[in-house]
Amino acid sequence: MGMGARWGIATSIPMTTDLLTLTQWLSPAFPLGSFAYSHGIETEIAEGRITSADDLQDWLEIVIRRGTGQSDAVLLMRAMAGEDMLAYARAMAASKERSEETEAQGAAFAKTLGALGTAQHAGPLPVVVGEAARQLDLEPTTVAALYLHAFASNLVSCAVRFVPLGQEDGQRVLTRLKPAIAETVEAAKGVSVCDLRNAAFLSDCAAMAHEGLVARMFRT
Amino acid sequence: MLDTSHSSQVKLQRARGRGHIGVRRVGETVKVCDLHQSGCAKVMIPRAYGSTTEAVFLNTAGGVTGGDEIAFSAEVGPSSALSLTTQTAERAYASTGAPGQVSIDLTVGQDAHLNWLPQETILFDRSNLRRKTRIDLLGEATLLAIEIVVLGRAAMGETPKQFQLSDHRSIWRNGRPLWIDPLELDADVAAAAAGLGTARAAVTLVYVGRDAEDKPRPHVPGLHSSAWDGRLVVRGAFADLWPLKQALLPYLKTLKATIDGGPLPRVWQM
Repeated sequence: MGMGARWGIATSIPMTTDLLTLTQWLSPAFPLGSFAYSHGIETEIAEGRITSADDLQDWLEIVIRRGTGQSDAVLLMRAMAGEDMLAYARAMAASKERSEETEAQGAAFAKTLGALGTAQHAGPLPVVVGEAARQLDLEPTTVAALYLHAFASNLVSCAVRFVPLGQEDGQRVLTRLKPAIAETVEAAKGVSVCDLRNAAFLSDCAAMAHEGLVARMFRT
Repeated sequence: MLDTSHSSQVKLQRARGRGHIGVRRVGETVKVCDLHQSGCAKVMIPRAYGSTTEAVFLNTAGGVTGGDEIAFSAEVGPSSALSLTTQTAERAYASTGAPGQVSIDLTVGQDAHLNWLPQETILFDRSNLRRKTRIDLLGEATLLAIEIVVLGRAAMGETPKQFQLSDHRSIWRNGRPLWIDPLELDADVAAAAAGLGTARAAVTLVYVGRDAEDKPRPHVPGLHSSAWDGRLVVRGAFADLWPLKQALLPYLKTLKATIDGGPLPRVWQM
């Protein structure tokens, strides 16, 4: 018997509980090790191309709208809808470190979920989160939006530590990225895996160049 | 002032073309076993040497514009090798309405090798090109493929203010996706820092094979590389085609020699 029935509480409780579950999965406290991955931003900062909050925002806008953000949103939403996205997600990896970034976090996510009593196989992070979210009574757009928010929030936090930027500057960038996240998720609705696209060419180059950085704080 | 508004209403002659080549191994040599060409698509076979055949695709329409439909395909039989290139740069001209469509479908048989080394694609102002390149590898087939996209012709002082490019490249092994590179650019996103920034020429090279991680890597400024899981990917964005080719060609020559021991196609020699 569920808690809601026991306390005689009406039906919105499962959804609230599911939203809390999703928030828990995507919070920085959930042990994915995300803080170690800069998605190539470390290269841009180290080489002096991202030096301000504005530079960071311009970079992340494209990464979210036209790069990893939109492809991850599509992969997650298709996986949540029941499609097998494993091979597609792996084929979309732009470099060795990008592959490690998404696979390592996906494995950590599955492992933690396993420890919480939910069996989930490993794989690229958006696929693993999408598959796990099938059990939640939430709109795919809600799941994808919170996923992208966690992705953006982690990259902002990388930049705050490494540019460095003030905490408030970082939060200002994250606030300004809300339309990019919301519009990307909305545009990803109903997009098939054949229509994945990518315009973030220099973001992919930055991810590759990261492999050659001599002094590195981040793993990607 | 001349009234040019009627030009967009003129029903333009739309180019159609289909070109196909199939090769297979016969004893120690690779022979052309299938050849088809229609419309503006031509397939030329300048030479065959030893175990590799070279073929060249040509679009006699001289470029791609709105409504055009051009399809090239190739099939490389088991244990054979083919080097494919294009006769000239592909030019995407100004389009009104529908995009120009190009499809490239290449199949590489068991233990076979394909070099897909087309010349650059030049995007003119108001061009709208939609290209799909699908390469299917069977069994242990290997592949060296390259795509170069150039925004206008810098030497001619051209920079496209407006364009649409959808250049979807995918490599499959035994029907499963192995590498998907769905480049989609327009003038705004290309100018963004994470797009192409100030660069006007971009190259993507991929080698697929078990030994990808042992292949030579480029060590010149501007070319970045990564190898994992049976694939080597090289990318670079440059101010223009000339510096791109200067950086790329010596590396491409070295890399190709380690793959099939052969020279670059004649059209690639600077």
